[in-house]
Amino acid sequence: MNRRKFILSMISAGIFGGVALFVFKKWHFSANVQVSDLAERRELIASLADTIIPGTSSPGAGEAGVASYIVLYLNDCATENERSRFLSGLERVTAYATRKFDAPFERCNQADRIRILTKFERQSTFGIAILDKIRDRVFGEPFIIQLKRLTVVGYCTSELGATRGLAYDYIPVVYEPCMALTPDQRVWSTN
Amino acid sequence: MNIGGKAKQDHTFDAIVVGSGISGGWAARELCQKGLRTLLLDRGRNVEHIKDYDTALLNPWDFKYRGALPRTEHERNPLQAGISNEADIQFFARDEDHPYIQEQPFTWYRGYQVGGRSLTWGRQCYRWSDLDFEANQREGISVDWPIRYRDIAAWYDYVESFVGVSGRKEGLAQLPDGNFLPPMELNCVEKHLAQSIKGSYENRLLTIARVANLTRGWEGRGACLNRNLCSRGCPYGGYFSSNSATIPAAMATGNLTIRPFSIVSEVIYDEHTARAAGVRVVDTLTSENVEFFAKIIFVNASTIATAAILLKSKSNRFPDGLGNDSGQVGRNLMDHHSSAGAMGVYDGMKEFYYKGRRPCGFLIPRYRNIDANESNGFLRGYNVQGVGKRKEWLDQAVMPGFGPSFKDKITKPGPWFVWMAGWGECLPYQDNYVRLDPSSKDKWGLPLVAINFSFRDNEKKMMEDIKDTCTDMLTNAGFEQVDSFNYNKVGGSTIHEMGTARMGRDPSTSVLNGFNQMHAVKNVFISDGSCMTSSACQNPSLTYMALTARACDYAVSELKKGNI
Repeated sequence: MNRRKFILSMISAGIFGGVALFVFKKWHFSANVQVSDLAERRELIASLADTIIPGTSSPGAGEAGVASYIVLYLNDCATENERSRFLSGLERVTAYATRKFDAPFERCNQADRIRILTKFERQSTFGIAILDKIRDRVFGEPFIIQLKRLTVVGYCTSELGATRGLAYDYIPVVYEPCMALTPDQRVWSTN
Repeated sequence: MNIGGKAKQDHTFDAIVVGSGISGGWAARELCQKGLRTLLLDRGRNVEHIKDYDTALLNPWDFKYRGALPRTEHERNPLQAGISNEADIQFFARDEDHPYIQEQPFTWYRGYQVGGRSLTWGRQCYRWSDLDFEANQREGISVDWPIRYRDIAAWYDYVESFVGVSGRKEGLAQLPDGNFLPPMELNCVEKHLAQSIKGSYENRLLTIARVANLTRGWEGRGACLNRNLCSRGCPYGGYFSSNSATIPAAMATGNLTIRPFSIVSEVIYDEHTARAAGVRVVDTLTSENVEFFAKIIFVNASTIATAAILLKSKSNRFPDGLGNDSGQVGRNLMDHHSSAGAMGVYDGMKEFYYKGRRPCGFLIPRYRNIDANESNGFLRGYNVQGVGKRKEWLDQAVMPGFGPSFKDKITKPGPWFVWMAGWGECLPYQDNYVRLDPSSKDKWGLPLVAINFSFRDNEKKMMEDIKDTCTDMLTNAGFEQVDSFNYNKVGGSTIHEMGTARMGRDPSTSVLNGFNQMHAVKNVFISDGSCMTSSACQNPSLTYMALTARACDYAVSELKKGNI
């Protein structure tokens, strides 16, 4: 190995190590939460989900019962690691909301809720795709990404979400390969 | 267990077919229609067309986990859970009930029920050409195929006319046209890519996939209704499976007996007649051993299981397994690789969308090493399979933002994108093999199968080329954010296992002759994937079906002539 290569590899090792440590601190040490906390956090989960997908002219995540899906999924399908990452994320949301807005997330107004989630979303990325990818590979997706994915899946596969939030085509019969898109056309709920 | 007299009569048929998947189903249909009283054995439960498709009509919200599988399934049955979802898990074998040994990582996905994997297959139907049948001989690899395209062409016609294959004729020498039903249609972005490829590359084109999904009613089965839920079983019979097509046809003759829950532990060899007398079966409901007898035996248990049955069938004449004079049984295991490709986003045509869920994508037929003088640093070739769509909610779920504006984004179609990957030929290597491990047994006391498989340099170089050419085609067509990938999937992932009882001209180097007849035991025929002498790059099921129909025709004519 020549000198140039050596220096380069030391720099990359340094970056990776730094990222790893930073992430480890951030995502791991706050994970002292119990599984039984999940059901108690249903109200918080419901208000988070409804903040992400609120009721508008079509039903929102609350009406579509997304929180029940998220709790069920975390209980039965998620790995322990995924679950504890999610639970510790909930704790951090509560702590931040209380510190910043003097109220738990559920009792903040809509604008403050969006401020809180936006702050978490900004913090969830290094701004460099490859670093995010390494982080996800080693530690799993950050809480806010988990929350968003679960909310979107829960909503889009619910009856209300699939049929009224999106466009549900139970039996298409024919395939129309290139149809003109009308302004009110929603995305298909199944593919 | 010894059976004589009437009991033996009840257990005696004209023909026995081991396995009811895509090739076994065909063998049953052909033999029954030719008037042979046929016993069709399967190790799993019966799955009756329509009646047993429990999940076929359910909505996403009807599933407890909305399609996901509970953690316990992933922990206990990682293979089964890795290939299935909440809607079709019932059609994949459970790891814990059916263990095997991975000497190197190899995913052996199985469908242990009547119909086998024909219920969940990808339905792509592509003919081989002499570019494929001549490749081994031309390059001095493995052994020569004992057949050429002219030997099988009429049999492709024959099976296609019953299967019902939709597709477009393209007049390509390396991918012969078939008897097609009207093709499915390309959407806007796929048409755009097709035009760009046509205008830019001399020997490439993009066409709609050729699939066993019906574009109109066919042989008593209904047209595909574009639900794209095939792997649950289709209540309209919109795609071809043993359950929807060959088994009902065989049953209609009155000559078929189906016996589910029957694991064939060995083929019984009769030293006096130098023929197979029948098969020994473990009844999985009673754990009893039962024997069945017939004049003709088709072993179509699927590539790895067929090899295992032969290896288990030991006798004085065949101490290393039935028909294994060449030592080739279990060797030359192949599986296509489908890990490498590219994807890209297309900024445009935002005013167009599609309706319906077409159950297939597109195909770019093989364009490498078509010419004997061409050199790309690797042997053989690949075809590219892919799909164009608009990004939908799952693709857009983690876009930034919250509230009404985020909701608006995920409920509207996103940009067009194309994903495509190369399905590549895998060379036959003698040391990619299946063997029995006598030290470990399954719950029926049968030795476990051990699999040792890896992709080699030729396949890896091909993957690099796939990444390059896919990236080039997308970039050239104006796609953005073009990313090439190599998923580095392990062997077995494409579920195109083949090669473990190869056909050939010479009994000292092959197991089967040019009619899928065992060189050494004339009344045993094998026409599942194990018969394949090379793998080409086409999805193989159509070729198994054509070889099976041809082998049945030969077997019955030999029987009538008194040769077997």
